Amino acid sequence: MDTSGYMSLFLEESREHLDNINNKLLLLEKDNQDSGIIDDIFRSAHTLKGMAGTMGFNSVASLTHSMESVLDEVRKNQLFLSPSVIDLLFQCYDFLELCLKDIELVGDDSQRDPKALEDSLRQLVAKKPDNDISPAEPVQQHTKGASPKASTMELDEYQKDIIKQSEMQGYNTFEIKIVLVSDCLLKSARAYIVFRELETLGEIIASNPSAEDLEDELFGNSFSLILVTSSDINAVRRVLDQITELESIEINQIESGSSVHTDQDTDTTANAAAADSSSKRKLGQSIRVDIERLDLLMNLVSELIIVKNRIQNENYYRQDKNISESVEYLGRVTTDLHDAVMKVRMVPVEIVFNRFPRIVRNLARETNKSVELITRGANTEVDRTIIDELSEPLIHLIRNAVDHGLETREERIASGKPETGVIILNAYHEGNNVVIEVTDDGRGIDLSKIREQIIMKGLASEEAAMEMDEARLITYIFNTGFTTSENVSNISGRGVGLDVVKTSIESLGGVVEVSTAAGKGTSFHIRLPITLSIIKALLVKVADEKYALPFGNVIELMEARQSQITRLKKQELIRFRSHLIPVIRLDRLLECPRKRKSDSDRMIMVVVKKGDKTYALVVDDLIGQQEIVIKSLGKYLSDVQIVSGATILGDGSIALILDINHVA
Amino acid sequence: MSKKIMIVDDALFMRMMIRNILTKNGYDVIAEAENGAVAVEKYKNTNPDLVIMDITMPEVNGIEAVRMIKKINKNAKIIMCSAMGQREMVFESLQAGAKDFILKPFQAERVLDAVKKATSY
Repeated sequence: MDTSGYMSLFLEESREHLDNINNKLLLLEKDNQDSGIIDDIFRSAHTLKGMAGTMGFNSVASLTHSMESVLDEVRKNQLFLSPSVIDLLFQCYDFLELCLKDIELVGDDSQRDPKALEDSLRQLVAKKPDNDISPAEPVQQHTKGASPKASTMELDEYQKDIIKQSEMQGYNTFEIKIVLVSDCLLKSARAYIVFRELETLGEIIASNPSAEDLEDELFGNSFSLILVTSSDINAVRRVLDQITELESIEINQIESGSSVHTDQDTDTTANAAAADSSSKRKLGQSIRVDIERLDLLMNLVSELIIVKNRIQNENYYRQDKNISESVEYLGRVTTDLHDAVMKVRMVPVEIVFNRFPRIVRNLARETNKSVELITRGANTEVDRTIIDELSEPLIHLIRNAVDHGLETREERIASGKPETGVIILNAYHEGNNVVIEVTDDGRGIDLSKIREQIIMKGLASEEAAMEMDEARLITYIFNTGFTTSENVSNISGRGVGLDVVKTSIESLGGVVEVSTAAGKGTSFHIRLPITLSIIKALLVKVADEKYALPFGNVIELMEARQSQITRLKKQELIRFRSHLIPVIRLDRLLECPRKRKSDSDRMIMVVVKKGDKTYALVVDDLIGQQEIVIKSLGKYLSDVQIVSGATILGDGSIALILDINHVA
Repeated sequence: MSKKIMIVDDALFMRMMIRNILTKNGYDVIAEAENGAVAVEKYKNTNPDLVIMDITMPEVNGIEAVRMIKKINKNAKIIMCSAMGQREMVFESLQAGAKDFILKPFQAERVLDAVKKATSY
C-alpha cells in the first residue's frame, strides 16, 4: 500500500499521542494510582502502534507493543508502578520521539533499534511472580478486560428511578445506538428526526451526547439514547427503519437495578473513546489544515490589502459617492478578513509550554533540586510563526532559572524558604502584544558580580561601572560571553544563552527585559507582537524616500524649530514633556541625498519608544497611517539591521520598514 | 399501485431532475408546482401520497407551504429539499411537520431512499 500520502497526518497525530504520553507520565509521577491516566497512556501507545504498523515503521510499532504489555500489567494491578518503571516509560517516550524525528527527516525508523528498551520492559513483566503472559498476547483482550463498566452511558439516580418505575408499570426501556452514514450532512437535523419519531412512541429520558450537543452538532457520527415506551422492540425498529441516512441501528432492552445490560457485542474501544471525550471539555468541530495553505491564504490577504490601499490612493473614486462607499466597505471587509485569517493562524502557547514540565523534571533531577513548574495562561494565542521560534529562547530561560536561579535544597532551607523552588511560566495578551514571563523564586541575580564582570571584561571603566544603576547593570547579562556563574555546568553557565535569547526575541520584533530582587528571585519578560506579517505603520518621507515606522513604536508626532534643539557634546537633544530626548536625523542616518535644502526651520519629528527610552526622529514629511504587509528583505540583505523589511505601497512604490530597535 | 408524488421547486431544472429519478423508478409524478401557493392548490386537487418540497421559493416558501398542507391533511407526507447552509430552515420545516429532508446537490439513491421510506408505511 502506498502510504506516502498519509505521512504528514501520521506525523502530526503521532506527535499528539506522544505529547499525551509525556504529559500523562508526568501526571503519573505525582499520582501513580490513577487508573484513568494509565488507560490514557495505554490508548495512546495502542494508537501509535496501530498507526506505525500501518505505515511500516517497525521500531515504533514494536516498542509500543512492549509498552502496552507493561501498561497492561500495571492496569491489572499485577505490576507496581514504581519510579523506575516510570523512568523506563520515559525512556521509551524519548526513543519514540527520536524515531518520529527520523521518520520526519529520512522517512524511516529502521536506524533505531528498540531491543534494549524492549528487553527492559520484558524483564518488568517477567519479574512479577506469576508470569504467564507472553508479550505477544493480542491487545484486543486487554482492552476488553479493562473496561467492563464502559459499556454504556452513565445514568443518574433520577433516570434510574424512572426506568425502575416504568418497568413496574409494564413499560419497556431501550438503549438505542444510532450510527449515521458517514457522509451525512446536517447531522443535527437527522438526530432531530430520530428524536421526533421516537417520541411518538414514548419518552427519551437520556441521550449521549446530550440533546443540546446533538442540536449544536457537537457529535461524531453516532449517538445513543434511552427510550421508555409501551411499544415493543419491533415497533421501535419499524419507526427507526423509516428514517433515512442511518448507517446502523442497535436496540437493546435494558433493565433497572444493575447497570444497563446489553447482550450484543459492543465495541469497547469505541465506548472508551466516547467516555474519554465526554470527560474532556467540549471541543468545537475542527479540521486540520496544512500550515502552508494558511500561509498562502495570508499572502493573498496581504495582496488584497495592497490592492485596497492602492484603490484608496486613487483620487477619482472620491467623486462618485457610490464608488467611494463601496471602497470604504471594501476597506472594512479587508480588515475583518485580515483579522479572521489572523485568528485562524493563532495557536495557544500551550503547544510550547507542554514540553517544559518534562524539561524541568529532568533538570531538577540533574541538579538535585526540588522544582515545581506552574504554567498560567497556556491558552493565550500567538501566531503560528512566532510559536515555532519561541521554544528555544524559553528553554534557555527555564534552564537558567533551574540551574542558576534556584538555590539548592540546603541553601533554600537555610535561608528560610520552602525546599521546593517555584518557576512560573505566565502568558497573557497586552494590547497588540503577547507577554510571556519566566519567573523563579530563587536567589536573584547578584548585581555586584555583574559589576565585577563588567570591569574585568573591560566593558566599562571602573568608575562608570560603579555609577551604573540596577537597571543599567542588569542589561549586561544579555552581552555575549557574560556569566555570573562560577562553575560551568553542562546545563548552563557558559555565558552563551542570554545573548542568544535576546537576539532571537528581537528577530521576532520583540523585547526581553529582566528584573531581579536579591534573595527573592528573577523574572524575565518577553514581549512579542501577536503577528509578524501585517502591521499598522506610520508612513513618512525622508528626502524623496518613503519609510514605514511600526505603529507600536510611535508615541507622538510633533513639530519643532531648529532653535529648540540643544546640544550635549555632539548629541542633539530636544525637550519632550520635561525630558530631554535624543534627536536622530533620519536623513543623515539613512544617508538620503537631499536635492534641495528646505528653507523653513520647522522640523517634523516622530517621537518613538524603544523599551523605556524615547527618541525623536526627524523626518521631512508625514504620509499617513496604513496597514502594511511586511516582506522580508531576503538573505542577501540579512545583515542590514536598521531595516526590518519592506512593503509595497498602494501606488506600487516600495517603502522600507525601519527597525526602531536598531535606529536608536 | 404506484405512489403519486408532487414535486415543488421554483427551478424547472430541479423538477426535471427529480421527476426523471422518480419516474425511472416506477413512481407516478402527478403534479408539479413552482411555488408554495400553487403547491397548496394542487395538493387539494390531486391529493398526492408524497410531496417533495423545495424550501426557498417565491410567493409562499416551502416552510409556509408545509404548514398549510398540514392543515389540509395532518398526515400529509412531505420531504424537504434544501440547499446546504439552510440549517435553521430545515429545522423549522421539520418542526412544521416535514417527514424528512434531502440536501442538494443530491444523489439519486438518497432521493429514492427517502421517498421509499416515506411512502412505505
